[in-house]
Amino acid sequence: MTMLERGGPGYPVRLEDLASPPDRLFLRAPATPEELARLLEPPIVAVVGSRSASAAGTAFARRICRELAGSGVCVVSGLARGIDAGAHEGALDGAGRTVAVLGCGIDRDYPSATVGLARRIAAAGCVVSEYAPGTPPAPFRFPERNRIVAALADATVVVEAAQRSGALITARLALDLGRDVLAVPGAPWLTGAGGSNLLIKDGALPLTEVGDVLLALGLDPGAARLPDPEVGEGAARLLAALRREPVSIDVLAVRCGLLPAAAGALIAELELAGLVLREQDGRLVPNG
Amino acid sequence: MVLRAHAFALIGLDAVPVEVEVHVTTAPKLPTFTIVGLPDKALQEARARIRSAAACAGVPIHESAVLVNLAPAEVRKEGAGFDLPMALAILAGHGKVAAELVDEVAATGELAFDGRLRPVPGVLAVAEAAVRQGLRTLLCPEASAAEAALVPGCNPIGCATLGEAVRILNGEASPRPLRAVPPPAPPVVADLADVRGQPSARRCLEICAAGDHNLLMVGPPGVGKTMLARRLPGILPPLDDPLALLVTRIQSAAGTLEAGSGLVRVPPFRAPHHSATTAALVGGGSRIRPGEVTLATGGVLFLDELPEFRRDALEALRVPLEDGVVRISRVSGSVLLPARFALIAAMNPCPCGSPEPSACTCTRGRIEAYQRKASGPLLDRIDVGVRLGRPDPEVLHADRPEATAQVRERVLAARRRQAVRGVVNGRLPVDRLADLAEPDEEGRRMLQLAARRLLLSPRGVHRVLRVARTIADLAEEDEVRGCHVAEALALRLGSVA
Repeated sequence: MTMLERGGPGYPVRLEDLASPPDRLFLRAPATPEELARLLEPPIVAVVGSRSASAAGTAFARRICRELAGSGVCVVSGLARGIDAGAHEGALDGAGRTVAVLGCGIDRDYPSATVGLARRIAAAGCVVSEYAPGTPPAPFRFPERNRIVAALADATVVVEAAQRSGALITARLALDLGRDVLAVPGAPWLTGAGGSNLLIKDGALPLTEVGDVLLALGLDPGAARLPDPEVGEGAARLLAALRREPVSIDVLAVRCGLLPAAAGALIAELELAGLVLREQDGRLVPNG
Repeated sequence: MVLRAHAFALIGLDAVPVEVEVHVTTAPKLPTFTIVGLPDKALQEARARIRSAAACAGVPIHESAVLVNLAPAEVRKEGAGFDLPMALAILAGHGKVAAELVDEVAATGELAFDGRLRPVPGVLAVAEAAVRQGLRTLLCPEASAAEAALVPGCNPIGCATLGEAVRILNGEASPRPLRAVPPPAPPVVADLADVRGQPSARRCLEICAAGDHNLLMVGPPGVGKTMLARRLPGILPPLDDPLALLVTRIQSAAGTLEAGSGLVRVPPFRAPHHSATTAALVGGGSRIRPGEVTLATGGVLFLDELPEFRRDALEALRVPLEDGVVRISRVSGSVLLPARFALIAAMNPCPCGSPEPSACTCTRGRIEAYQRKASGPLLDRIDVGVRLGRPDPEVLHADRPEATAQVRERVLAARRRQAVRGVVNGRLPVDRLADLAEPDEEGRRMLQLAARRLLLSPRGVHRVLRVARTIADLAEEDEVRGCHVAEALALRLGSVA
């Protein structure tokens, strides 16, 4: 564990933009201020969103973060379930930099769902908290933590957030700091899109592909997007139908005039190619 | 003088011979009636039944001193089946029937106060044990005679009353011919065509029936999980002779065999409630009784609301699922009972069981705990998973479900292909998978991809291969091809739990 004091060596200067910068920072990783400085080199993007995100939302966060990592962008998030976890995973998958800012002591295994992920980040990136080791998680600490997330990043991306979501707090804080905010638009009937759509109405930039973030950061958006893997003709037809509307396999089979057996086989092909995901309610959604 | 009769004690599904020894003093100073040889309460109470029945038959044994010994002494004897053999020996002691004749037959049956004979459980096992003992004649309640007649070599004589049994032994009445009890109406197995709007779930059921795979269904209440499970026995192959005899014996021992049903050919369907205890599920009790796993042998065990079952009860299902048998150990000894069934488990996506995901009030943590409980002990043995949603109007409109008879034809054909190989796909051992279920190039590529992309474990790969083998069998193809592997992958358990 390393401790950084405000004004001391290695303390991230960006935090001084805050109205109340943390007095101390506790690092589970990396071990030295020099390594931290390397991790916190711009460009940095915060990627946040709902803890109870859909599989599609989480997968989208993972995908854009993998692509951001490929463009050399550091991904900051809060190590919560759902979008946060997807963002960290994507950055790690892309062998990029990632920073997890906790709302409790760095030695707490919280949340339990991301303990393994925290270990991976500690090995390759940064796990940091302003709270002394041993501090338990508490609801009021998460909004406080969010100000650090917002302050560290050049831009904040909200992937999936309902109307009352902690991610909106991060976005507001980022706006207050004069940083860019981007939000992934969603259909108005999806509760998980209410917050992101609200942000767009208030002036956030809509984000539909990774190029939008890179553009906002002043980087070249050209090369980041990874091409879709190739699939057979039948599978492609199913994917096109799912891109029109995510439905269950039974509905999909009816719409494409297939027997359940054949539809199942083609879905497996799409799943293996990473093009389709299953939501908790059984619907199939295109990935990314 | 000591008189002998032959009775049988039911232990698990088997009957063991018990020798009934009776000593009678007709003019004692004090009339008594004593039974020794570890009788249970029901057997102790036989004294009242025998006294009354004997009085109705005109023999005042309440004026005699009667001593009954049940040998071997260390075997616990339970139930009312000993009434008839004891009564016959006692009547022989009173000179009402020749002692040698009583010694030559086996007997079982419960006595009513007026001397009528009531049926008892386990007559099939008793008849088998009697034949093994060289006792070809079995005196039994009339309603049980047809059941005993299923045992080759057994000559059951059904008697209505104790008096009739005595008259038959004395040659005063001739045994009545085996009365053909009208067979019970064949159980109405509901038709698969009733399940509209769930085509992929019906397909799953067909695959499970064809390959003897265990199935997990996940879906909100009211989407047809129970409906589907109840229709599985209809598409399973009918029980072959050895299995039919076993199932009949199990039902006989459990006392659930219907009079006149003959050999049970319809696969049983058992659906214990989730409050069932471990003993109720796997068998047990101080008197060893077959549990649900044994009663479901040859058929279907349906566990609705899987995560609501007690953890120890689910844990206890592992061995029967793995080995097809269950061993019940008690102080008095241990018994091996058959327990080979198809498991159909069902659960809600979340503990509150709200019909729509949007109406769910569960926290993430509760949902995870709920799903973890189901996934713990059993999922290793479940090959196929399917998620059911509310039937979509579009699907309801287009769905033309096939009838049970049609589906069963395909299932039977697939089973015949497996019979040639000598093992059903659901129980294909790992070392034969490479031999019997090796997929083609395309299938191998998909499995490798699945191991990487879908984090499929080696064990998960084996399960997918078994299911793929069944899918190929249903398609009447010898080789497991890529499309079969793909469909099996879509039905993998990881897709629902």
